[in-house]
Amino acid sequence: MTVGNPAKVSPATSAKARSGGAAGGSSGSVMPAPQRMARKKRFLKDLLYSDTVSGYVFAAPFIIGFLAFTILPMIYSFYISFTEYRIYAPPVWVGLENYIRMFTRDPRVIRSITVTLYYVLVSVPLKVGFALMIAYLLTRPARGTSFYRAIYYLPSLIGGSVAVSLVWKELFAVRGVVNRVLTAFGLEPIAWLGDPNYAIYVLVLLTVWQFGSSMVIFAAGLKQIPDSYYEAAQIDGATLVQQFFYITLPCLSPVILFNLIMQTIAGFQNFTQAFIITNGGPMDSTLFYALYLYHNAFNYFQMGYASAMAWILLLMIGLTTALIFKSSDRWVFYESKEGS
Amino acid sequence: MRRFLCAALALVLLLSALPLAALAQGEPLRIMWWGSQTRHDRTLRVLDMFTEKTGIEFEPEFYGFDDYISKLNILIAANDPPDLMQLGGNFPTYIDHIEFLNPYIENGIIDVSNTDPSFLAITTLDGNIVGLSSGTNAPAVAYDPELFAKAGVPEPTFNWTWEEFEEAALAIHEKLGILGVALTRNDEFWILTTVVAQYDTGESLFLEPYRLALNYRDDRYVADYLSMVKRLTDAGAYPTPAQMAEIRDVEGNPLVRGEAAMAYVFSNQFVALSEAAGRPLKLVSLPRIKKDGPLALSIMSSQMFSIAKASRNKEAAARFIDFFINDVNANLILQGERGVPIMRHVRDALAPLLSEAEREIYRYLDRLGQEAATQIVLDSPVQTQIRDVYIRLAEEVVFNRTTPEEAARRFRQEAEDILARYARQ
Repeated sequence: MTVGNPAKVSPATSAKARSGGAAGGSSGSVMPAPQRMARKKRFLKDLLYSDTVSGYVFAAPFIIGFLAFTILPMIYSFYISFTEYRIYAPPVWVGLENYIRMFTRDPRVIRSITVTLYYVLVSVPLKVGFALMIAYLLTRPARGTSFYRAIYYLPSLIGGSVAVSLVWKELFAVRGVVNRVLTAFGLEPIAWLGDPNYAIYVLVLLTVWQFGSSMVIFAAGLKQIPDSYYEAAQIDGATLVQQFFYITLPCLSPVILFNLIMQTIAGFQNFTQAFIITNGGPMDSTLFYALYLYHNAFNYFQMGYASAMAWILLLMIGLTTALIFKSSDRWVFYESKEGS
Repeated sequence: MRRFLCAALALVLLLSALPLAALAQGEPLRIMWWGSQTRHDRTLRVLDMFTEKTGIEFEPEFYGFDDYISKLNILIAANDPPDLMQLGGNFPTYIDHIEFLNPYIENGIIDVSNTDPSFLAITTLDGNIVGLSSGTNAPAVAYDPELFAKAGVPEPTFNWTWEEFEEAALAIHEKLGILGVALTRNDEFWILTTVVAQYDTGESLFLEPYRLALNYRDDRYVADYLSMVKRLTDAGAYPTPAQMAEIRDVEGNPLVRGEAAMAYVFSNQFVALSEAAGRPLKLVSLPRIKKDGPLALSIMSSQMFSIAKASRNKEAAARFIDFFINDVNANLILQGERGVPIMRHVRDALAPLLSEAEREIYRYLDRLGQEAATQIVLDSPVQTQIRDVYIRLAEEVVFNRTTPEEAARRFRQEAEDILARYARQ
């Protein structure tokens, strides 16, 4: 490296140098050419080596990607949500028509919202509760804990993949493993995926089964709770159940909030499972919102309508998340806020 | 260190720009199709043959049907379609992006001297030739003669009726405990489009050929059809929704495993079906309403390669289409996997090599040709939407949530809603 590399100058001094330079520049507008050149050069150097600029430069790949692949498509999707756009012909402006049609003339939208809300309400508490239970069991000192934790995490690794959905479909097929077990016990086989009453629970079960990532987050949260709390409670004669409800749960509540929100958002967006296992059927009993959106976009070629649906989905997720946050004042306990 | 990083970054940027430049120079033909692994393998070998012969390189892309359509839509929306795209009855959707073949046939780049006008008609719309059929096919019922014999049911004939069909399915289920027929709700809908026309009143489910309006007055046609579906389902001779959901491909058809005696297929699927079953199967036409009434089936183009209007290499693309449908060696590799070839000399060259299953397809199409029209059959996204309405209503009927009459009424209402909205814009 060259001696006197300006980057080695601390931000404070370089800032001072820069402001000094600026002051000098303003005093005389007539300046000999070489001096001007030198100033320009120094300005460029300062700019290049200033901490903010290099910060932006290094963040540029993300910023560019975010603008090009998230923000711009979002703006465009907002525009086409007010149009009739059939992909192979240019969009035609229709104003609020798509939004009005969703709630007045398309019963399948209402149906898909109902199905999705039901799915979220059933699967998210079950999944979060289950993850908490397993995480709690696995934080107790015992042999092979990390082994079990890895085992329980496995289903999440293959998570939203197509493969696991296909496996699930085979398991619950008319002549699948699950029905074979049922018949072995002398029970009647059930048409799991063909019965509008059962199909959604097959999907709920798959979601709950993939509790691994929430479990790992819970496990980390549980380790943060100081042992001294439990010791103090034990000395006071608290039972295990009391310890769980009066120490573990309150201390863990921020982590529960986090998991709840993440899982709710994922639940609203669920697509792969329904797409592969049931494709929305039977009788639209598993027609998740995201799936119906996909049908509109790629099967019916109604891009404008699908975009409008996407914006309503964003709104629904935003509202639900806001509601959960609002309610969190009542049940989430932050140690840092204690005594304030 | 910093300088090195900067240089490296610049280099990466430069390199990423390179392929673009290279692409503009080489200009290989971009070609896309959907299909099975067999089709991919055979088509790729034919592309190599063409490259060897002419030096024209390819940039092939191939998918399953759904992914293919999604990808094609994106490319079309970006005004960057491949030079050659495989299309089926769904081509009207893309009609604005298709280069018609008429001039290439007139100036002799594409040779159609060995085929009949009726086979050109299946890919011609309003006088414009949108492609040349890579193979013809027709809907059919595949059945297992052995299972029919075992159940003591006479084998179906070309003139059988829906009543005979229902009796056969019920008898087979009663005697053997298996499904009379295997099909999906999607198939059921396409059959309905045929059934309405069989009443011979000049009506049809859709107004042909564009299928952008309903063309029947009496809801009884749909209601009667749904009633039959319900009777057969209740008896256990017809697949339940759960069983239907499990029929995803030809190989997974219950007929293959001997769990059904009949199946609804397209004739070009019959080879794969027979191979998977490993025992002799036969083809017969769909049943009809009256013994002496019309069948209302048509022989159609299973698919074709069309040239994109935006292509910068249309002549090379046209030369490939000529090679693809006329070259005997290429077709010896393709082996009519896309359907029965439309060129006489290609059919003759393939004839001695046909398997028993392929011969059955030829026999079937020959027989069908005596009374079926070779006709252009069009498909559109709005039909997909109406199909989904039908699927939902049929399921409601099967689950006893509604009556066939009520479902037929609602079908008309919802279908007309969708069509009206489609027409408005």
